[in-house]
Amino acid sequence: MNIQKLRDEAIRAIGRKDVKYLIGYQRGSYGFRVSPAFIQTKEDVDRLIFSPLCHLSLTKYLTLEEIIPVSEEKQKASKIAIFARGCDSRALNQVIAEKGIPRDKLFIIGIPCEGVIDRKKIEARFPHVTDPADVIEENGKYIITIGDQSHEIQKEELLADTCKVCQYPNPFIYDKLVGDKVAPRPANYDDIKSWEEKPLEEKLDFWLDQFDRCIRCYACKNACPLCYSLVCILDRLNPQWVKRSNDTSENLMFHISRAFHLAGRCISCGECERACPMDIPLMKLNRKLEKDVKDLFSYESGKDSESKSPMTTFHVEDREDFIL
Amino acid sequence: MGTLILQKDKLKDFLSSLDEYTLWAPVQKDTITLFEVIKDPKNVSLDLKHQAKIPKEAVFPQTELLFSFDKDGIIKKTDSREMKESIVFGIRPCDARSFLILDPVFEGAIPDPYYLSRRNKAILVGLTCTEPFSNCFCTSLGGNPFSQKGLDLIFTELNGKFYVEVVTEKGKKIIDKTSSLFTAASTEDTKQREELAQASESKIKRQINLNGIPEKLAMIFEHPFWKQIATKCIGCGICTYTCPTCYCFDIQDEPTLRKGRRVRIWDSCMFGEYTLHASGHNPRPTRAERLKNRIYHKFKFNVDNFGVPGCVGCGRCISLCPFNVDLIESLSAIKSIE
Amino acid sequence: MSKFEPNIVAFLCNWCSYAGADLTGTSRIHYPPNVKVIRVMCTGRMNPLFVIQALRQGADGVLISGCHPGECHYLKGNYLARRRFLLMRKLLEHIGINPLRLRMSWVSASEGKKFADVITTVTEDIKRIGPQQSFKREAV
Repeated sequence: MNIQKLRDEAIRAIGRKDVKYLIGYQRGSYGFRVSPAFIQTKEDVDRLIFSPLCHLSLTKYLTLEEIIPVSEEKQKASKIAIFARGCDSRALNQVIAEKGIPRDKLFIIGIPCEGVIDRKKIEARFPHVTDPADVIEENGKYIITIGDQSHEIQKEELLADTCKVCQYPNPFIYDKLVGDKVAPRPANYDDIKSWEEKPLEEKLDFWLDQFDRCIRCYACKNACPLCYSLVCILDRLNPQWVKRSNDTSENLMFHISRAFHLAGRCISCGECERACPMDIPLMKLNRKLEKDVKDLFSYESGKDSESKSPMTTFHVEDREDFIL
Repeated sequence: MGTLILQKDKLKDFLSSLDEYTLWAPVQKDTITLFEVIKDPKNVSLDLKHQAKIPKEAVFPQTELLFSFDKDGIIKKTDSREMKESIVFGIRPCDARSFLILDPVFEGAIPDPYYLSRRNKAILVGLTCTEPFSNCFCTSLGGNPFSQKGLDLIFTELNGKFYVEVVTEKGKKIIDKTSSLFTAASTEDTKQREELAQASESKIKRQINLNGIPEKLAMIFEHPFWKQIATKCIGCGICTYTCPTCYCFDIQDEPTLRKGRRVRIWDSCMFGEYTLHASGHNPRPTRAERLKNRIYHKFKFNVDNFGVPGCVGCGRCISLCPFNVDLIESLSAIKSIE
Repeated sequence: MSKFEPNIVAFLCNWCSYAGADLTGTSRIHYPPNVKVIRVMCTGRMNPLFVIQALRQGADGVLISGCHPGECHYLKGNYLARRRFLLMRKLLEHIGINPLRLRMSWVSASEGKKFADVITTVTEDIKRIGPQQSFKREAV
């Protein structure tokens, strides 16, 4: 990834009369952190980075309610420019298909993605790092620079779990593409399949234990690019489907409902799991539904901006061997 | 009040012999450390990595049953007088200071009986911090990784043993009950502890000078800076729910057809509906107002009301925020506003 | 030792299954009394939240019954319910809830006998696998 090419494209994007600002990535406040960047001027563009540390799903910021103040001349601009990797582009397609954002409001700079580092894994491998750190990828390895020290780690050791099975690293939708296409990895649901073989009691014990741990911070819901309801049904006080008390039962209700609301919509970015402060393996739930929707209804979310959700469509010949 | 030595392999005996108390301690669960009531002291974990759960829960639980009722209108109150005394073990000095910040809030004009009954029955046993995390900044808030403030006893891990300092009478009571397990501390032990304390303090990498922050905050309420700083925030509740000094709560009823209960639950000022009025108006409609309120509450209002910032510098909000909203960065930015 | 009597919540669509259940009664056909019926206008209005909520509030099993495919009063509600139900069942099985606790059936307004058979089957299956109270709501 040639960062200069990306920055040039960014300059062109914010130079357009119809683009208000660009959402990209910048170095975070310490160590391995990365922050979203809201770019309006050429000077701002120098802050932009793109590295394996850039794990955030920027598409979230398109559906949050903030209106970012822009300069006089950009008041009439209607578009927001955004960096979009493979999974991000799927999120964009899905939100456009659901009429969440109009397509003409976006200027998408597509970036084929070789995978991101799981922040928890790298912080466990290099604890207590506050100095700014950089990572580049070379020949299947990550070269990590912390201050003046350099380390080489095998890519698979730090790669995010969702990236290890990523079938769609190249953006589906974009106005400009920066970078060479990346070879997709094959679909792999082996972990889900082996979980399916386990006895019911073991599964229930495991999940009740996980739900017990949840502190209902809603980081998973808020980090998810596809959870963008103005008022989430699981937050509503009237009617209140999920009480705010955080016992196992309420937490189970929250997580199962959220997983089901993402059925056929989840794009497997993995942000929910990465955001969770209690390390709950949320992708185990979402990927199960992703696999089932693929097997049963031959549908994968976010491949275009027109497809209707498998939950609002049907085939007369759908399976019904389970019906009495 | 006295310094003693407890051999490391005697820790379990120490905790088991205090079985008339409810024991709260850190417990390792997969990749995280939980803080909860434990039955078997052998589960106590002293390696406090990734501690998202906080000792505050021993006196201010996330969900607290106030009372339950049924269709006959009979109210069954949770009687906190019948609660056992508790030992809260393994508290880091930053979290210990949080109790001192919470106390004046709950002891105010209308004392909170639920908090106070738990608090008065809790014996706080600290564990000094020899490995500060990347975002610890307790020293910027008048704290220290080896501070005794707020604790009844404090343990320091030396080689194969614990150096135990008795801080209060409450702590002494516990030691007297288990005195056979302790030996006196030598000057060599004390020297070792001193060395560890100094080493630990030097490991804290992040600092912020808070002088002038309340005065600056008084001037910048309408400043456009708040809109900028809040653009990263996604409005979840991680910072509030992992903060040792946050205390906002809601009281909700959970009725069903024939019975129900009233609970007190943690609430977060970062959620949109926190200030949502019944009329539909929301005085803090966007994340900018809510983030601004959080910083004001901790670094101005708490100072105005109670004389100290409502922060102990534990750094959890910085480490755990998924989108890198950094409190130290925000405070530095505030300081540099003209 | 008292025998376990399951608590089953049945969501019946107004036009077919509910009418069918009525017919079972008027025809004086016996069926196990373990079912608590909730009438919905169509299985297409079934919300996944109802199912989980029922299981959390003391139900050992949930039955959803609607019109046969092609006969839905609102044309396609049952087709949608069919898809959604299958996914919900698979998700709940994934977390360890026996799929025999979540059942779906097509019962038309004239199938009084079939309704009785469905209830008997579901009740017996759940009697065999036992109660499900592991994540009951605290308030209940």
